[in-house]
Amino acid sequence: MSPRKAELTAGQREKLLRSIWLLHDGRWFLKAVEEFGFDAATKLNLAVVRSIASTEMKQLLAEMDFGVVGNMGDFQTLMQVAADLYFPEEHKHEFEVVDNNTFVGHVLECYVHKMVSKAGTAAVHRCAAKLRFDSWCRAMGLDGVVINEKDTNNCNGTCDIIFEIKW
Amino acid sequence: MRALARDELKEVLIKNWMTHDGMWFYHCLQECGIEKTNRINKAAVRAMGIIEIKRIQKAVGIEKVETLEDFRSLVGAAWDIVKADFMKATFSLPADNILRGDFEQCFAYEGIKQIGAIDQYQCGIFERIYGWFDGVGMKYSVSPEVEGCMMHTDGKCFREITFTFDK
Repeated sequence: MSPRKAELTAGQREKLLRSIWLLHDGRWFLKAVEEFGFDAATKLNLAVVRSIASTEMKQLLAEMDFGVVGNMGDFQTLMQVAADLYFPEEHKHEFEVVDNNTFVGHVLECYVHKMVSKAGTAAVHRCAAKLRFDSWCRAMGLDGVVINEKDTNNCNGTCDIIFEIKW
Repeated sequence: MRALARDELKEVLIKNWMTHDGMWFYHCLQECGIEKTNRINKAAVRAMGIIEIKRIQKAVGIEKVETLEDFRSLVGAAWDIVKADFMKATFSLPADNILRGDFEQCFAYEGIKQIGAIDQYQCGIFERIYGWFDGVGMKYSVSPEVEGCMMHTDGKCFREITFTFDK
């Protein structure tokens, strides 16, 4: 009997890797909740997000030989590449360049909100998006502010994340 | 700036995933010590492995592992999907029902040594692989049975996993 064909396209492989990465992160969070409770696990999760976000952006910059992020065009390009690489397909969003200093990520369907709602913890979950994007901006060497006025308990899976960048 | 090839994308995803895992370990260690961190890490990775293999099975179309051929195909597919170049590990099938994993270097050993916890670290790498076999519902035994880090104690690391097939 010949072996069954068990090959994936690169796109299928990447999609699977993203989904298992998220799964692993979720298991860390759940096991931490079981061990320490929700508040302590949330505190840990936020600390972890801040750290990994910086690393994921620095690594991407290095792999792409991106150089200096010097204007809104560079920023937009990098945000698009990072989103394509790191966000799962089910995360629906649009980017908008408002002006030379303002960039908005319109989140239409948030994958985190979807997972957290499924787990029944949306009322107490703390959104880490602002922390993640603050870390991305720092990793890009940018002087800027990230504004997200919503949290998991009041976003209903949609929000606008505003980046105000000084060049 | 240069575009990344598909294999480079895979490498970036897995590197960041493993760094994310390492950051959970590090922050957990700071918050609650090595004993609880080992427990959470192993529980999280085992739970992840059980679901991970089911997703891989679905993706590659090997829903049931009943024969040696199914097993070979699934292990080969899983390895292709989740192994990155920086993981200096190989697997072989020295006999029909034995899988051997050898680590020339181990990124977990290197990382945990860096944060000063290697003396008490309990291996999470093989927990993931045991999670795969638990997820598939296979019967197996492991030799040697190691609780700590074999790379740390012996300067090399391997396991032989012996399976029992019904067909």
